[in-house]
Amino acid sequence: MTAPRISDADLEWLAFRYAAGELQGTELNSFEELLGTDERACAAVAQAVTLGQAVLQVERDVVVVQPMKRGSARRAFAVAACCVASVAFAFVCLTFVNVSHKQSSETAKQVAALWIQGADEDQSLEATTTVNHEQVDLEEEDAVPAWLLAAVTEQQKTEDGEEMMQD
Amino acid sequence: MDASQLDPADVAELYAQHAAELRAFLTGVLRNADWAGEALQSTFVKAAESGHTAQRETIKGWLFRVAYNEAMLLRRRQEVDQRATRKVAWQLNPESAAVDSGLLQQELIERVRRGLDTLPIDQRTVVRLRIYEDKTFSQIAEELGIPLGTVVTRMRAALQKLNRELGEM
Repeated sequence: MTAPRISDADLEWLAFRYAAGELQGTELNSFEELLGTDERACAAVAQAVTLGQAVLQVERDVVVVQPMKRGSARRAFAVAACCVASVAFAFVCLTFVNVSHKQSSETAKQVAALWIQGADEDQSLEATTTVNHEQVDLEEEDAVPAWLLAAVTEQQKTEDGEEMMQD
Repeated sequence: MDASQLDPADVAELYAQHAAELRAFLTGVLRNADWAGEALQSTFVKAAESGHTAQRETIKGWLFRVAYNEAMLLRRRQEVDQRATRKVAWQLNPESAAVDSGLLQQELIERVRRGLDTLPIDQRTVVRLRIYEDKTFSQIAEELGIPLGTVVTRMRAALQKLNRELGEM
């Protein structure tokens, strides 16, 4: 009496469990005996091992690729952050320069205005001073100071007194 | 050349056709990539010596039988018992399988990748946990919070689809 033929699906399942190290005891012995005589069982074991290795390889690739993706995302994020930072820095710099420029322009304008105003004030002051000086000079030139008049008057009195004494 | 030996060109042809499958089979039996390589070499030495006795139609079965016997001899010589078979066969040295045919291996991996991509997510998860993370079905059932029978059913369904994908090569 021959053993019933195992279906392909059952043989694949047995071969997978054998390759996965799950068969034990009589189940393991029976299957290893079968391997000595049944080409299908041998081929099923070969396929189970090959499939396991291929799945392992694919899953490893997935695991290897994911960190790379994360790494790429991190790199992309870092690049984006650098770009944003650069743009922000440039914006701040330009704004600062602009403000400084405006400020300096305004300052320059203010200085210029003050300078012009100051010059005008100086000129008016100078003119006023000149005029006052001139006025003072003129007044001084025209009018004899009181102290001088008093002194002259006093001196004349003294001279008159001395002449009277001599007479 | 000895007329009782297989022609070297025929041996080379046999190697090109069957070496990858035989190596995978021997890896499954021995759970050791180096020993699998050694047994594969012995198998083709036997093929060169007495392969002419096998018929063309049954040469693959003949090679499997020789390989199996070489593996058992090696096991005895290395004093390795059946406990070695508790190791997982595919976690040994996946690169060794690519030695025989790099291009075929690449095509195979691509097929399996496509096959995995077509699996429903629940089946793909079980495959991943069982093969990549090397978890037992009980651990997977506990982790996913589903009955053990469901895990096994999903795994079997996934294996059938993936094996069909490989069988079409």
